[in-house]
Amino acid sequence: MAKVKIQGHASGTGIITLTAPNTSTDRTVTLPDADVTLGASPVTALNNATANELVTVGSTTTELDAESGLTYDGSTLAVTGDLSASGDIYAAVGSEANPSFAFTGDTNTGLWHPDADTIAFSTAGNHRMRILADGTLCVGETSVMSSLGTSLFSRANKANGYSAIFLNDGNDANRLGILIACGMDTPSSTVNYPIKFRDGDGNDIDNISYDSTGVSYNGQNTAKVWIRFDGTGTVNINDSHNVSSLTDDGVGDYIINIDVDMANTDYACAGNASIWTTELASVRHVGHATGSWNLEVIDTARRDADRITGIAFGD
Amino acid sequence: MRIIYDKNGTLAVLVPAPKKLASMTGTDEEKLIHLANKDLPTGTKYEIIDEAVVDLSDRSFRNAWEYVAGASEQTSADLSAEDLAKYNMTENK
Repeated sequence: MAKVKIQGHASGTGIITLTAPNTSTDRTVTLPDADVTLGASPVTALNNATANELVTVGSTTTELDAESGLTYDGSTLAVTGDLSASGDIYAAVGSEANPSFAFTGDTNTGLWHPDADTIAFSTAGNHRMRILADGTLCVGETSVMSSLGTSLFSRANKANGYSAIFLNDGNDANRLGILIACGMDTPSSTVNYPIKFRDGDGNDIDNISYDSTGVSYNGQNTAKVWIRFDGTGTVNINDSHNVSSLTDDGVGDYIINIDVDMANTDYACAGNASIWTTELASVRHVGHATGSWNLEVIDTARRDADRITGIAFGD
Repeated sequence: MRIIYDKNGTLAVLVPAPKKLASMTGTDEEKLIHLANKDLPTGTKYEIIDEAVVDLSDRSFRNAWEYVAGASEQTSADLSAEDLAKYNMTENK
C-alpha cells in the first residue's frame, strides 16, 4: 500500500507540496500508471539544496542534466564534459566531406565508413587514407591498384613529389633508414624480391633480391659477381661479391669460382689488370660456366698483375 | 689457408674468398673442406696448407710448380642436395 496517495480531480490547478514524514526516507512518489502530461511551459526540476536546475523538459533545448551540461536540441545531443560509454557507440556511415566522427569547428576532417568492413579518413573534406577489409592500409588511394597483395599501398600524384619518404633525422650516429626483411633464410634463386620495380603503368621492369649471405639475385643491371685480387706474390683476394674462391692456375691464369651460380652461361664479363699502377695488361675472359669463369691476364703472354678485377652481369 | 691440388700436371692453388669464409660456420679446416667439395671436381685429391708456413710468394717459376701428395691429403666429395640448391647448382662439379 502506498504511503501517500493523491487522487486526481477532474479539473483544477495549483501547487502540490509533498512532505515526507522523515527527512531522508519515505520520499518515493508513485505516479499513475499512465502518461504524464505537462503544461505548455517548460518544467524544471530544481536541486532542493542549491536551487540549480536539474532537468528542464519542454524548452527548445531540453536539458537532460543541466548541472552536467547534457542537452538535446532535437538534432544534437551535447555534452559539455567527457563522453564515456560502457557499451558500444554506433554512428552513421558519414562521407568524405562529412566524416561520422569529426571535430568541433572542423567537421570535414575525421573518420567515416565508405564500404562494408572499411574505415576511411578525410582531411579538409577529401579522402586521404583507408583501411580495407583485408587489413591493407591505402594512403592516397581507395584500393591497392595492383594484382599483387600488399599490406601498405601509398600513392601520390604530385609533381616533384614522392609516394613515401622515410626520414630518420639526421646528422647523427645510429640513424637507420629502411629495414626490409623478406625471403628465405638460406640462399636461393627462387622468387623473393625485397625490391621490385614497375613503370607507371604497372609493368614489371626489374627487381633486386638478396639472400642471407648478401648475394643478390635477379638484379640484371647490377653486378652479380665481382672480385678484385692481387695476382703477385701470394695471391690474395682484396674484396669480392658472390665469390667463393679464386683458383690460381699459374702465371696470369685464374678461375673465379662463383658462390651462388649464375642461371646460365650467357652472362657478360668485364675486368682489367694493372701492374704497379703504371702498366696495363689485357684481361681475357674465357670458359664461361654457370659456376665459374677463367680470367687470363695477357701482355704478349700471360703474366701476373697486382690489381686485377673481374665483374659479371647476367641472370 | 689455401687448398692445393694437381691440375693437368701443374699445381693449382685455391684461394678462399674472405667474405665467403666470414659467412660460413665451423673451423677453418671445415670451411676449406666445404669449399673443396664445392669448387673442386668431385674426387679431386687435395691438401689444405697454411700459406704462412708454405711460401707461395716467389712466383718466378710458377708454372713449374707441381703438386706432391702429403700425409694429410684429402679427396673432394659431393655436396648435399641441400647445398646444391643453396648454391643454385644442378649437379656437382
